[in-house]
Amino acid sequence: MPPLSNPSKRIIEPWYDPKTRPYITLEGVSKSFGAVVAVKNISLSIYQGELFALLGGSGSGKTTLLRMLAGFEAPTSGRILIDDVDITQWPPYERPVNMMFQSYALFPHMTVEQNIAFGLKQERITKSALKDKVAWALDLVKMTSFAHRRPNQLSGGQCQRVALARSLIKEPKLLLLDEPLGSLDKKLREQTQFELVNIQERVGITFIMVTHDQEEAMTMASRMAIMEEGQIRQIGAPHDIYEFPNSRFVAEFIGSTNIFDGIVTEDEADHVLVNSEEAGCQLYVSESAAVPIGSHVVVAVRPEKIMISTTPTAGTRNTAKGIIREIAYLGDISIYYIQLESGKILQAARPNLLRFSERELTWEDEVYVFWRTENGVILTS
Amino acid sequence: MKSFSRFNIASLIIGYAFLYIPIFTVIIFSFNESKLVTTWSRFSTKWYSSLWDNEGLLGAILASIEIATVSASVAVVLGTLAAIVMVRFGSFKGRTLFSGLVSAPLIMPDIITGLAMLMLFVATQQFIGWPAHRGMLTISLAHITLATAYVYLVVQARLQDFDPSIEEAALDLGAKPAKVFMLITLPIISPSLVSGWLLAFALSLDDLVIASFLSGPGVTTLPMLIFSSIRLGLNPEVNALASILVGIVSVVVLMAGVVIHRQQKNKNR
Amino acid sequence: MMNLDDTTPLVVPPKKPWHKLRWQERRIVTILPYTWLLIFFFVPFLLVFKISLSEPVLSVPPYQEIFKWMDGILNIHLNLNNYIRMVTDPFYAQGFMTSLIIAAITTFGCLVLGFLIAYAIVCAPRHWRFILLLMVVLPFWTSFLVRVYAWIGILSNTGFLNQLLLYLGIIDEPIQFLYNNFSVTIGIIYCYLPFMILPIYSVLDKIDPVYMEAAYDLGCRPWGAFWRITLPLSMPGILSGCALVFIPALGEFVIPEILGASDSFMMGRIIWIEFFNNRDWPVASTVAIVMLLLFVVPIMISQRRHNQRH
Repeated sequence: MPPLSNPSKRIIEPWYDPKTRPYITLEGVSKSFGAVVAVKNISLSIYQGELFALLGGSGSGKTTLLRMLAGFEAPTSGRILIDDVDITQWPPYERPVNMMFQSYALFPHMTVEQNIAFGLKQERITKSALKDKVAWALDLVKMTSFAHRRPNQLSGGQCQRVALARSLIKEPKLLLLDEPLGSLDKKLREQTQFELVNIQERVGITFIMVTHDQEEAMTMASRMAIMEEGQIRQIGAPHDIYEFPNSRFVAEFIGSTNIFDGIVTEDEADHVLVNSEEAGCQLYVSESAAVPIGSHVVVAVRPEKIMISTTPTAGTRNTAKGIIREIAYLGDISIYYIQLESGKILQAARPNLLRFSERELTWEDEVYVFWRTENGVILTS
Repeated sequence: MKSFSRFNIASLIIGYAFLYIPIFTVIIFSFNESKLVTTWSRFSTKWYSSLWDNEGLLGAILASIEIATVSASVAVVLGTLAAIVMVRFGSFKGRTLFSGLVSAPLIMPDIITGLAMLMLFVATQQFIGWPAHRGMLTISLAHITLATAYVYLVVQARLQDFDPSIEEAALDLGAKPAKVFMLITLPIISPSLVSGWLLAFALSLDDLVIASFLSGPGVTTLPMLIFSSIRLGLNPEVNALASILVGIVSVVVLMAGVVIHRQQKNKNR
Repeated sequence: MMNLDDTTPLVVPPKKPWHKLRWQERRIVTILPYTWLLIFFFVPFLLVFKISLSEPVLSVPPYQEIFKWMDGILNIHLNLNNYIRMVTDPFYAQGFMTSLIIAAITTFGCLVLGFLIAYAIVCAPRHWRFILLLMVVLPFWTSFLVRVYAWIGILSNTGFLNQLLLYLGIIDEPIQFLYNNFSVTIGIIYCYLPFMILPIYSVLDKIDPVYMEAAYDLGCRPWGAFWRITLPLSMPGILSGCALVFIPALGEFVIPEILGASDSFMMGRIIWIEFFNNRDWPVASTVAIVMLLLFVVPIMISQRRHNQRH
């Protein structure tokens, strides 16, 4: 667990308060399809008002988990509780859970208004109350002028808003989102990300979203869980997962990282020294690893933490010499692929701060890389 | 979400029972010694043997098969062309009329179609002297017209599902349109051509009304013969014939099913 | 290796502009089926209309020409009596009504049974579907006439159904199932069932199951979801199926002839009798035209409109 630098700064993070009860609990939930185990014994606590992301590749089990929450799949074992009520055996139409489908699934034979009203029509509600609610939902997603259109007359982004309104109008205890931004183009995605978060904060409903897109999860989620092969590898706030991964898998899964293999030569309370042939130097990490001397560890350093210089650096730790082999120019940053003396390729990212820059660094340049001691992470698995 | 419930199973059992009980009745009574369809006397295969001696029946069978083969074959060509026109060619003058013409025979009651085509042949006989006698040719022409609509239906469905970018790729690689059709389109839609042919064949073989309107002296098709014998209330040889038909078709279908099943197994491997 | 210094042009220009060539080729392909259908399907109906306006004569062919060209004068002789008869003679009006009622009932019966079967096939496991569909189509391959005839054996007073009911003690005396509108209805439903099942099945198969999930998710129970989602989305299939059953049923001849009462006349039988027994080609043509205008054409137009909208 990362250190709490300033406890009062953490606003909506109920998981730190032992007094708050989780709103949604999964206890030992597993799901197998015949011989294939999609979800392995997952236990998870989610708090009210969170925007929780399940992040993983295909086959990680995230969609199966979502569908179990919605009620479309029954867990092979385990329980699902919402607000302390066991809803594991409840059919989807009785659960206080609504889902926003990946394909939106807007009923093609109904107008926008009828689609949105559909959920409430299943409950006993007066006509005028229904009208008011539909108007509120339309206004929330800013689709009031499209009320009488049909889904085939709407663009992708508009369909998504209607799908959102349709699921929110029932004010469920939990809203599930299946790859919500998947089919939108980049500009629309950026816009929608913030809109979704705003809407969620306004209505205060707990959101659980499933995605394979890291950027989406990191931008929107208050907390996320990294899933792999049916299990959760790490849960935490985006910052915590990015800067404090608990395993090699998570370090490599989120963003890019440089991995150095090495042997521990020193392990004290405030630092660890690792001998790495790959790096060609000694790696000094300013945290403790709690492993015996001589054991094999991995040190991960993020590309943006690595600094490049054309002149040799002082010191022998956390520094290496190499040649620039590839440059990826991304507009805002450039990523330099530097081949170290050991042959290993290191990634270093640098923002392009100057508009007119004569190529300070170019292919086949000899450079020196270095990084600060607190920027390395020791990983034992 | 769609589960195969007991209700579904019940629907299927009732449905298939409804469809197949008359067929089983036919088969059972083809082995009935008595001529009557309503009472069972004892088991006998005499109707099967007497079938071979019934020259009139055999002649009618041959005539029907000949007509059906010709009609189905020509209909496949016309129907496929029509499907290409409607699916691949964009709009052109007279397209609406064409689409109406090509799908109307499907829902037109055959008594009206038969009457109309007879009027045509009578008129042409008056004006240009052809056809001198109505018979196999006129029946075939009518069957072709009707069957084209069915073939069109089947082929058109397959063509629509077919990704046009495959044809475009072939054009891009240097093949002329006619070649693209022969080498690319045709092989891909061939299953629908086959099922279209089979459909047209079955329709022609079974048609009574149009054949009655359009046949001439000395030409009797199988349905016409069966109909007149039903009218007279006799001839259980017809039961035997129908049973043989059922047997042949079942065997063919079974074989086709096995072949397709094997193909699918290989595909999945 | 390509020698880029060659003087031969890289591209051989086509002799004719591509678009024009395409257009000509397409013309050729279109002409064959188009002319065929015009000659053998369109023109005959014009002729039927023409003959419905003529008088019956005792000759070959048994109708009088309406266009007579004599001494440079074109005489047009239109006989409207046939159409007047349609309206005044109750025999024809009754025939139309009987056909309409029976066609409506059979279409409904086919719809209910056909939908149930199509739905069951769609719910069935994937690998069963081919066999199930095949079994629907298989009866189609055996002689239609013989299968209709078989119903006589089942429905007659000494037939299978009555025997069964007597054996079970449900009735004491045989019920007259045969040679009435009931047997005709059963016969038509029996023969046209596959025509209803196949279009409905193909539409049901294409409905994305995610819509049902969305409906359940929003609180809709299974039965409600069926009525509000599945049924409306399967409308195109239902409408095609109904068109494929209703219109041919209207003009059905064989089944009423074999299974029906001798004094009940559907339009198909009327046309046949007028044509073959009475040799009154004009009246037969008139009945056909009236049937076309009253039923077939409106349904075709509405089908066209429905297809265009989707």
